[in-house]
Amino acid sequence: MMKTPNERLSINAYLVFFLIHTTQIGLGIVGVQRVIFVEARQDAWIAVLLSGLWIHLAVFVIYKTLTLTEHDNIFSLHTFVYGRVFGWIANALVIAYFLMAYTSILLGYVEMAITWMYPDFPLWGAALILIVLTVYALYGGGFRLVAGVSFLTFFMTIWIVTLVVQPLKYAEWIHLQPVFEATPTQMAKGVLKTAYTMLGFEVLYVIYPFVKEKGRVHRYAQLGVMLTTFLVATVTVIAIAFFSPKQLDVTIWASLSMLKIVKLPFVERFEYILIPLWLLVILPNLLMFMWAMTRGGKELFRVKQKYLLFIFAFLLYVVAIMFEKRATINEFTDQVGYYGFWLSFVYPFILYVFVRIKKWAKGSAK
Amino acid sequence: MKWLIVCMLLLSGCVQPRILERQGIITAVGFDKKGKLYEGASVMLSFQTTRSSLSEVIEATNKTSKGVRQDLEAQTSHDLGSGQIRVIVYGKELAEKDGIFTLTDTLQRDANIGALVYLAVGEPNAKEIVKSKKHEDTRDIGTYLYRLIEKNLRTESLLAATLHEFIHCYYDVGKDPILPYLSVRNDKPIVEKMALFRGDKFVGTVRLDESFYIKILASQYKSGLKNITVSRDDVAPLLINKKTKKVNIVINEIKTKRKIKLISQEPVPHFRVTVKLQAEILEMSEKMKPIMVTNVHILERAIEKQMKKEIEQLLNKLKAYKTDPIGFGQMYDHSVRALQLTDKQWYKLYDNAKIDVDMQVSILRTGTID
Repeated sequence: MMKTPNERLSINAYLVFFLIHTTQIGLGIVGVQRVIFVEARQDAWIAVLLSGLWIHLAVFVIYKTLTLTEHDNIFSLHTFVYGRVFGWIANALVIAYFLMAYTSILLGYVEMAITWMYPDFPLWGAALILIVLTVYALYGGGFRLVAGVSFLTFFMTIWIVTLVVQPLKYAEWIHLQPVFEATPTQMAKGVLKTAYTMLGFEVLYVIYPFVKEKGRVHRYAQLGVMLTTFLVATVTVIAIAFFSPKQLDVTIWASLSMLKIVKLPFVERFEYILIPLWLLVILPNLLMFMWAMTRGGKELFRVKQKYLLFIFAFLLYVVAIMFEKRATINEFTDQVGYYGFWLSFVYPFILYVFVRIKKWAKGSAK
Repeated sequence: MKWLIVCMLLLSGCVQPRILERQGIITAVGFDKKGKLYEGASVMLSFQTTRSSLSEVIEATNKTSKGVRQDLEAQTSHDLGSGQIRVIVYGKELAEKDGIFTLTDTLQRDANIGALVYLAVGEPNAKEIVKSKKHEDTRDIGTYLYRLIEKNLRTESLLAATLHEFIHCYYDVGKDPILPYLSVRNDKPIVEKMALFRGDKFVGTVRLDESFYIKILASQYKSGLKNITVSRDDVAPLLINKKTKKVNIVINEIKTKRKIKLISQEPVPHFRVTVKLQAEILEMSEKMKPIMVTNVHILERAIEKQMKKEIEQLLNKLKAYKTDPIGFGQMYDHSVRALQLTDKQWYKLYDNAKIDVDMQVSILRTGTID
């Protein structure tokens, strides 16, 4: 079992709100509208809300699972439930998922920056910058830095939301009519496609032991999720009104294309500010997933997190520079979304049941 | 960690620098088609260290619009930048025969080009508009055209479409784009008409006084002045001199509320258009009795009657052109459940659609005199 970290390494409960929220918000929100719209048409926003509801439930179950036994993180839970060998494999899968999530965020951001701002900038250079940044931050700071960064970047970027007022001028609300036209299948697909954007709350499994006031974690985690759902639903509603249906079908970064409309007296092309600023939005994602990876690796290989940081960074870099075309990156992101969906939306419920059974079995064995 | 910081600083220098004096900033572009080749003309604005800015028109011909761009580069020592394009003019023939969607598609694909570029149709061709030397006090023709369109859009009966709005309408089933129609008078580009589109193809024009109605039905901008000619009989009780046949009244739109509703689908789509127009009177060709609470309704009813007639004429004209800039089809598509309307279906329905117009005018003010 993992040692409970000492006081010096742990964080206050309110930071969980920022950690969960900033890990959830990342690249997805820039282009999620099309992905859901393709499935659920004008009812896409309802799919977002349903998906949010589900996450609230999932977070509740994750919290319950963590408090059920003395095992307070996913890695030791796995060992507890599946035994040494299968637990190891399950943990390796979780780490592989974090690895994939990190790669997809990295590639997604680099691709966006290249398309919108620097067409002749090489992928390997951009990927290197981001990975070096992650390593630099984590090497010096560790988990408390991740929390600090998510706290700061939250306040540095949340004001972007107010900018959606400008595209509203071009909104045609009739696009939202008629409501509830999507069939249950379409809606279900829409909920599934929302998953990639809303992923990130599963890190609760990893950060839970590091929080001081355990009793208040749940409340703040739920609040973080609520804000995410609200933001994603808002940008979805606005995008549906702003674009015509067939136009939205082909718009990759709907939020960015929408904010192209924003024109301030001192800067006409607002996306030139927005894209570099978006680095602040994805930075907590990168740090969080990288940290979670090394934390899991520590359990798995019994190696210091410091060394794992360099090993994973190298591995990620090699994987990242193998990608080149938009289509492959897209496909990869879809895969991540798919795995993430199973791991975060479905698996917590299964794990909860397993933990209960195991606990009961152990109790009766005595 | 020091070397890391140094490394980052060095990497940030990798992006190509852009020096202002070496930039040729394109402010307007015109496209025409000759045979199978696109003819492009660009207004290039360059800044000098010693003198004030200089604008020049360069032309090229190629098979694709990006090819035109390449040929343009060959004609200048400056780096051409398209981030400041304000207006794009398409020649009438090009817009009529080929449609302009492929050209707008290229623009949207390019993240460099803002979404608020105005599109327009030029008569007789785009080149002539862009090459015009008269542009008042602005630096270049691009800025002139931009301000011309912008001003008339804000306060007059002109409807304009930015790149975003054009593509929006193009993709939307049951709504067609409408663009300003630029023509040349005394060597100076002006807007006199609006260009109607079906999909991305130019089909015809309407005068600005007709587009007043399209504007009050389809957009939230102010529509400006409108000249109404009412027959003498309608306003007879108000007249002092009873001899004239027609009375001209100029009103200024203050506020309009519009509502388009689909009443029934079968056997033909039946819409009811309700327009509540608040206006003030600016000019009357005839001296009238003072307009009071007791008799203002006579004038209001007369204006309503005439406007209703004109709107119906306009709607018939639009139907004849098979174009739907107001968006009845959009209304139809979104009002009917479980329906995937296609453009083809809609034009068929549109032809037979019944549209009732209910006009309600209220005159708020009559200027400083009654």
